[in-house]
Amino acid sequence: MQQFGETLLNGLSMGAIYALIALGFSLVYGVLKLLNFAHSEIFTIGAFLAYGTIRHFAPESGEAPFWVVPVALVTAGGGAGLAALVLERVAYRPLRGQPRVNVLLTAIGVSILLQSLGLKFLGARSKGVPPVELPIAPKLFAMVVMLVSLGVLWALVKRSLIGIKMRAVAESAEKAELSGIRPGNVYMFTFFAGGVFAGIGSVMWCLVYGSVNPQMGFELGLKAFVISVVGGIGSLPGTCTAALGIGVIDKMLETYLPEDLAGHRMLFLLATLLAVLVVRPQGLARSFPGSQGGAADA
Amino acid sequence: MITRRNAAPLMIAAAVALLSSCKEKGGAAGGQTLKVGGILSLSGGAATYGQEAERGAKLAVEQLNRGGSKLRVDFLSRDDKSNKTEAEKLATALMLSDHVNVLLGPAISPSAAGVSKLASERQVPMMSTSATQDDITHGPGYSRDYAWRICFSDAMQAEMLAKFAAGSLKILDAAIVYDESITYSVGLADSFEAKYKAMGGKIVSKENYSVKDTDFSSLIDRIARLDTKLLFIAGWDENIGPMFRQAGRKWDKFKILGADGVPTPAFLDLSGGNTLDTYAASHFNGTDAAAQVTKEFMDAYRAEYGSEPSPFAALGYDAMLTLHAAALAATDLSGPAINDALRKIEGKPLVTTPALKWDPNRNPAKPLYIVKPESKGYKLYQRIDP
Repeated sequence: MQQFGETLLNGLSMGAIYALIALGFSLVYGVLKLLNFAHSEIFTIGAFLAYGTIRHFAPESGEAPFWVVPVALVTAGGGAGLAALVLERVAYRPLRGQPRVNVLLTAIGVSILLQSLGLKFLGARSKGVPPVELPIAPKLFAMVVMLVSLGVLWALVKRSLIGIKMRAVAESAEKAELSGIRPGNVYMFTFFAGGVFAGIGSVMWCLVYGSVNPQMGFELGLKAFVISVVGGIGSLPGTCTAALGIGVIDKMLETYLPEDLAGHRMLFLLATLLAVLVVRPQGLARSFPGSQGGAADA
Repeated sequence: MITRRNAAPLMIAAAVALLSSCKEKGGAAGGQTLKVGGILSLSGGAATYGQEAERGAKLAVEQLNRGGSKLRVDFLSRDDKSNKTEAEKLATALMLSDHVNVLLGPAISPSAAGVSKLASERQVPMMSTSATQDDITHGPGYSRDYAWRICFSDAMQAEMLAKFAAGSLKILDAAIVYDESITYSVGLADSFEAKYKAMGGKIVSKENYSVKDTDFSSLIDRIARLDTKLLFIAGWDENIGPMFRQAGRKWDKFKILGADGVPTPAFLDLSGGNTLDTYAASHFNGTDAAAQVTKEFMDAYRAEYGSEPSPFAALGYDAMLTLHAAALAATDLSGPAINDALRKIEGKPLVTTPALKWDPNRNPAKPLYIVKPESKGYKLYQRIDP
């Protein structure tokens, strides 16, 4: 029973971090119908900013004080948000109106480019994040932050003016434009918000797992994509549910599968993805509030 | 077709080629240059080992060339990206295109295993800096007559660590934690298990992880529930550091015995200072610096890089000095001559051993240092002689 409880906690905390990454991915898809594969590198940028901030304020030995966490959330969240904004402006905006495959290839190209730049300038070695003094265990802290973030995002989408604009653009950019909404600004804000959530996820990653490297985003990005599809790409609650579910399944497989099979659990995760898609091709939940699209648009 | 017009340039070119070939085969002395091809993991998962070895090797080259050695060294250092295929590609290019006299590296076992075969086929001596896997210098299937290493082998390391666990720590039941995806770790875990059992020890569990893992929470919880006093960990610092950090206080009840992949500066950084009650195998410890060569190395390294040398830097330094000494002792700079001469330089004092001694399989018989990690470095705990 103790083993089950520990595995569940490990899975939920992992799922919370997956959720923070996948939310940004899903948000961008929900509004723009764009699979932003460079989102994993936005996460990596956030992770390095979080690492730099914590390292800067940490004492030479011992734990960094708790107030470093909000500072890291601002620098990593803001930095990742700005990076996503620049990405939209430089790489995606010039391709607006072009076939989707062009944008998809650009996203993959940008992802590879950012990863290569990271390797060139930051080196391939992992860097250790100094430990931080937290009021509760890091895994619980990550879950609390995920829930708060989801609440904020939900309120933003449902209750704020920019949220209404996002939903309008998600439904139809042309009709939204006729109503006086400027889709370009909404797209920029959507990218920024997605980047901020990736940045928040990266801070939680640093607190829970304690190391960063330029290639860390790749596998997480892949999992975020799987989660978004399983959850119903573009659906925020679906994304969170799928993230937590996949986090728990991953850890349960790791713990309870025979030793020689546990190392291949990514296969089981992908089998889960296939099973969900066979039963519910649109994913677990419907897509972004207001959007007419969904997985079929991908 | 050779005509009267192009015959003269062709003859000049042939004469130059003949002269340069005579020069290369004419002996090691007299203002010649030893071309050393470095194949080291300068990036990728094992970058610590290669980067450190490169620093040590470059320091040795600088000292040799500045000190007016009659045999200058030209060091062509390449990055194998911690990748076996890349290492083999580089080895081929260095031997066939750059015509190096000897190879220094690779630093890690998977890369060294492939290069040892290629080097032996081409009769170019290869001196690995830190590849400990047993079958790099000997084994069935193909010749490894030109494969040497300056570090101890896994069999030797496992035997000394098992002796330390059973003898000095007096613990006769242990769990093994190893990386199932790297041959170094699997081989070392198997060797330790065999030697430890032969000494009356019992292995209560074998737990594995993969080099790509970043979240060790399940592994940590599983191990925390084990009823044993000792964990033997065989793996790279890149994984073991974060593993210790994530373990927090959950492994406080264990004594931990780490192999030579643990005691690096990166481990201290990645473990976030949570070094637990760890004893680790090291190729070198500066506090055991009785020999003049070790003192000189320590001083020169600090002056050059402004930090303390790691065991892997010391191995890189020793590998370069050994190859250079063998080339000086050789009748000429051909591969076979240098390979023969490597046997002749036994007794040479090095940084990682007071006197170089080879076993029949081209492995050095040298001391192993047990060190304990502290917040800013490693403290010598015990020296175990072979």
